[in-house]
Amino acid sequence: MPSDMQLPRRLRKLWKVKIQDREALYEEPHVTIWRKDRKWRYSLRNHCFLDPQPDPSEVADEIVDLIEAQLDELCRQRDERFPQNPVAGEEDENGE
Amino acid sequence: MASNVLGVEQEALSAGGLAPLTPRWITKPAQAERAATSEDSRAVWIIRSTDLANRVVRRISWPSHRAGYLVLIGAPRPGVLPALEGRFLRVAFVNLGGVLPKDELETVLKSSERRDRFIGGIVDHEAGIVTLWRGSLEAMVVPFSAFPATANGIRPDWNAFTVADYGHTLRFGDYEAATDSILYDFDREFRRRQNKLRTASEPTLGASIRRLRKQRQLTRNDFPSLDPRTLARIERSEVRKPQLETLQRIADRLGVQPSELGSY
Repeated sequence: MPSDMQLPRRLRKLWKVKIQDREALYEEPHVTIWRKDRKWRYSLRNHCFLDPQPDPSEVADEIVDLIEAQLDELCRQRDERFPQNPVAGEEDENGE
Repeated sequence: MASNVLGVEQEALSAGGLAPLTPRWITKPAQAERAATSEDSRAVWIIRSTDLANRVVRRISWPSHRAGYLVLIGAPRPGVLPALEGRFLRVAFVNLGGVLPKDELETVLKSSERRDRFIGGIVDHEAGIVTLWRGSLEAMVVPFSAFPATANGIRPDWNAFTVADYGHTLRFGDYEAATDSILYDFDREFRRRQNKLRTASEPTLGASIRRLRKQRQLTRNDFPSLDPRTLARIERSEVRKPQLETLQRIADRLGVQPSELGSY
């Protein structure tokens, strides 16, 4: 199932943070943050928002803090799903 | 029929975005009769009941002016489908469970970004396909193979399909697919838009081949007719103009036309 990050109850009503099971592998490894019909992609590799829109400042600081605090576990879960596109970096020069 | 609808949508797009559609739920006979005669081209009539769908069909007068859209929740009977398609600009039909919740459905239909969301769909086990309906009520047919198991063994459950997160997510039991990733693979226009937006894009043919190869979960050794070192050089753009024959081999293995290679 998708990795849903555990959030405190008061945040859980509005926010979701997930690693989905089918994401495009061209994308930089990320988690997706949801609030109703809006979503943001947050890079696990570079620790930044990947898209200028919607405005990343709309995301509660607490959410970003929680992601950063659980980064190791999120990276592990992401790599488990998508070993071809690891968080740590690109494939080697021989392209195995 | 399709070209008329596309014309409407393209006109709206060129005007700076899609004008909102107006969801109208048909729960009473009088509403069914209005749906059969309304000239509101932005209305989306949503029906859950076979009886009410029959009532719409009976009230259509022929030749009918074509206006508005129709969403049938539950599979339509083949006998009434041509009549409904003759009356409405577009008709979508979705499984009872395979549709967004009411408030999310209404939000998506009113959104200017509805073409990039799914509102519902229907799974055909025999054919091995999922027919998905975008918020613009255009259909997109996606084979089961587009939803591979994850490396850690999570597989889609075709009996438990639904759409979630305001159309951003396709859910097959415990398996979740991002709508964007499906649109990227199956809609060239969406792919072009995304590539334009991608700030850290690598706009070369080599980068595009590499992305597509990774998406297909292939290594460079999976191209039997090609030296992996050659492919690596192409992907790194060290070969400025690969031979047509080489591109054909790469395209064959990746399952696309050579002319499409640069668009991923």
